Amino acid sequence: MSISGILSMILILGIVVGGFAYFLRLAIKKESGKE
Amino acid sequence: MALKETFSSRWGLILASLGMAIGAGNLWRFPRLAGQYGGSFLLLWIIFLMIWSIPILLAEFSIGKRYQRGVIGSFASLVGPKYAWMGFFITFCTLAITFYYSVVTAWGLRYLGLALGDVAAYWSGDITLGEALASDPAYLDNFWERLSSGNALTIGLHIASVILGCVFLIRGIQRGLELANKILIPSLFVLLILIGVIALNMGNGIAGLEYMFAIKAHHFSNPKVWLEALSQSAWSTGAGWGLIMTISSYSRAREDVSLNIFISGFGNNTASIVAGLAILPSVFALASSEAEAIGYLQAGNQALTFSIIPKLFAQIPGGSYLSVVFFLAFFLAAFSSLLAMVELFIRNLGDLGWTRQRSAMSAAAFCIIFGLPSAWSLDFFNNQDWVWGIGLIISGLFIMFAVLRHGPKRFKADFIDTDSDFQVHTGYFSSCIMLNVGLAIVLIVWWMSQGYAEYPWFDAEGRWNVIDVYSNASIITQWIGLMVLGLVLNRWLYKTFAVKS
Repeated sequence: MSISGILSMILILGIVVGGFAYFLRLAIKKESGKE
Repeated sequence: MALKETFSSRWGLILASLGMAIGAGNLWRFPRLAGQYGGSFLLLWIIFLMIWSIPILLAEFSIGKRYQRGVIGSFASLVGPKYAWMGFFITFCTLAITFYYSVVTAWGLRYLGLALGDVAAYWSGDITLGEALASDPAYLDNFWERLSSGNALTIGLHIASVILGCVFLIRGIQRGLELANKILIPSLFVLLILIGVIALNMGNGIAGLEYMFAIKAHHFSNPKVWLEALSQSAWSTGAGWGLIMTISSYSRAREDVSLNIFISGFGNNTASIVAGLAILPSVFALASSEAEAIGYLQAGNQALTFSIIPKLFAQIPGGSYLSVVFFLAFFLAAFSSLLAMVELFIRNLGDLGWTRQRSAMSAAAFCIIFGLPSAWSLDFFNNQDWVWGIGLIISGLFIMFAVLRHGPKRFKADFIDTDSDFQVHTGYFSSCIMLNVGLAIVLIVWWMSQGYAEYPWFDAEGRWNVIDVYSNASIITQWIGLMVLGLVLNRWLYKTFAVKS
């Protein structure tokens, strides 16, 4: 796999999967704060 | 009297939202486009998640949460007595999709059966799929042709899919929709990750990643890539379908809006990426060349899923197990979306004062009867997919109309910000809603100018070409028919479904 391909993969996975993980973590924090 | 139920927790609602969004499109459409256009497509698809899907989902979720009614009632309550017919259009557009979506679920079940039969044949010493393909290379193509048209088993599985859905939904929100998605969504992720790990360890699997993620600048100058990315985001996230409006109508009183929508949107896109990581390395590892793999991706949703993937898996030792995992994942994805679609109908019937039991059984009967033509004829299926798939963009336009009529700034303050864990920027929300009106018009015109029909408007004899699978005349006739019916019923719809303040 080319270097540019690897960098693109990191960028896209970072945005999509990282974004999902970030928002999920935020929700977990909000929910634990309510308890 | 509306159905008075709520999700047990935020997580129940989030899983139901993910179940609604993650469907067959994540497995049979997204990987095809990602493999053809690579990282350029993925970046545009992420941009359109933010521009198109998230703002519309925010609007839908907040409307359902505020009025606690089905789509017709919630929409009519917001827009007033003149425009209740628009909520009717949104409802019946999604319902028309439900009628054939259960057929997709049925196909998934049939191929799961085929894969299980192949495993059994291997152990019992019968003819396996690989051996059948060796003596007849067209075996799977013929199997698909027999299955997709005039097949009694497909009809039986269509009926079974709807009944299975209603077995869950009749139990209510917490013990039905919520419980089902607590099982379906984690299982789906596990199955896709399993295929991905196996596929990436095959010979040329890594080439699939290169095709999926490499950003090629020339794709950005191709309008088709932009429009495919927008279409994929619009269809896959469920924005404009009325489904998230239905789910949020069961939310608890102080339920958050913005954070739940961002989780749903990004969760759906994560599921698509995982599906791409499972399917593309498989296709590239098992095709004889990269050119052949690209050809497979261009073959269309149904061909890739039901002819090419089982054929590729049949070539390798243990491939029948991989087929079982793939088609189980496909069935779970389709079934989780089917549940949300049938629930949309149940919720509207519940607004008539019907009990959940009566609503669920009536919805099942409707879905079974009106799904029969698509189960029997692939041409009918394709026509409905064509007409109502594009119809969803009209539904999205109606949601935007409702927001614009209220005033985007005021709508955000009144509906979205009141219970949100974080607030999206007003300028972002307002400008996206306004921009989306233009995007919706461009999308409709683009899809209708694709030239799939030889005679898009009038046939060779100059007659309105309504009886044609892919004609624009068929689209316009069916859309207008539904709108006219909605307009005729408009007063009754408002009087019966809307919440009067």
